[in-house]
Amino acid sequence: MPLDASPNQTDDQDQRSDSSEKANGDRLRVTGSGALYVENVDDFLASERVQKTISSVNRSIEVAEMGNDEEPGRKRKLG
Amino acid sequence: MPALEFFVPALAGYLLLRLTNIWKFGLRRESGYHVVFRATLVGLALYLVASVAGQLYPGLYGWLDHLPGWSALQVSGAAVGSLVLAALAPVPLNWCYRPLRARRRLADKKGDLVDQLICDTFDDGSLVEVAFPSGKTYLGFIIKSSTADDGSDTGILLVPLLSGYRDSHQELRLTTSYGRVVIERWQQLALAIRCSELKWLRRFDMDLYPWTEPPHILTVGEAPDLN
Repeated sequence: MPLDASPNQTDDQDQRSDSSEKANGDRLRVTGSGALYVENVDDFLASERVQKTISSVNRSIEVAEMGNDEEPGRKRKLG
Repeated sequence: MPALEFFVPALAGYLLLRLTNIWKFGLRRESGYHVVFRATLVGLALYLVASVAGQLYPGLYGWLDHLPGWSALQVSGAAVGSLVLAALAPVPLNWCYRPLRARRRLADKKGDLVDQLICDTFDDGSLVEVAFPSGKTYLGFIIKSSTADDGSDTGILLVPLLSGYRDSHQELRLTTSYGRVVIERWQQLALAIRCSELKWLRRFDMDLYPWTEPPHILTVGEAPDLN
């Protein structure tokens, strides 16, 4: 590798041997050794499916906080 | 039989195994003598196909005789044909077996339940729970998975969305939510985990968690507690 090669160039060279496919809307890559990875994590986290999960968690927490404010003594068994 | 006449088809067999999605991922997990044995068998099959092709089309390997010094090598046209077949056969085979399908097939074939679950979560993008023997628990998304060459262990890279612990009664208590910071800080939050160090790894259904004790919502400016 030339000394002046940028890290991005090296990544591109490394990934040229990989194969990528779309699964459930996310582009996944498979390396020659069989490692699976999400090609673009930023896009993956911004995807509708992940955003829906995050929103669902945030909403559940908000509801739980409101519920605790209204019923401070309430306790339920955790599963 | 000259050594090259045996070596070239065996090399062709190895080339086919190494270039074809359906076999190449499993090849790294095989022991050395298995690889040699399989490469030889596949090479023999290629050699037979190339020989039959030579019988059907007598002039198929005629061009080899015009190469300078070819006769000194004492390698038959069928042996060279097996090498050509090994280079061409992966094209249609890989078209039928895309890498993801081949990778999933390997997980099924090996009966590795952790690997199967990871492949499934890549498919459906579901939230997974990883629980350590200490009780520490993370819920998040797997963004990378790799298996050791000998298949002994699988590593995952997990972006956590929630963390907490299992108490002495094995009841889950979620203490921290990373939902507000995960998109901009996922690189700092991502955890590399060896599956052999886990108590369990499973899909997690948020609807089944009672949310009676809301976790603390981490915001930018706070240092995440990943211990």
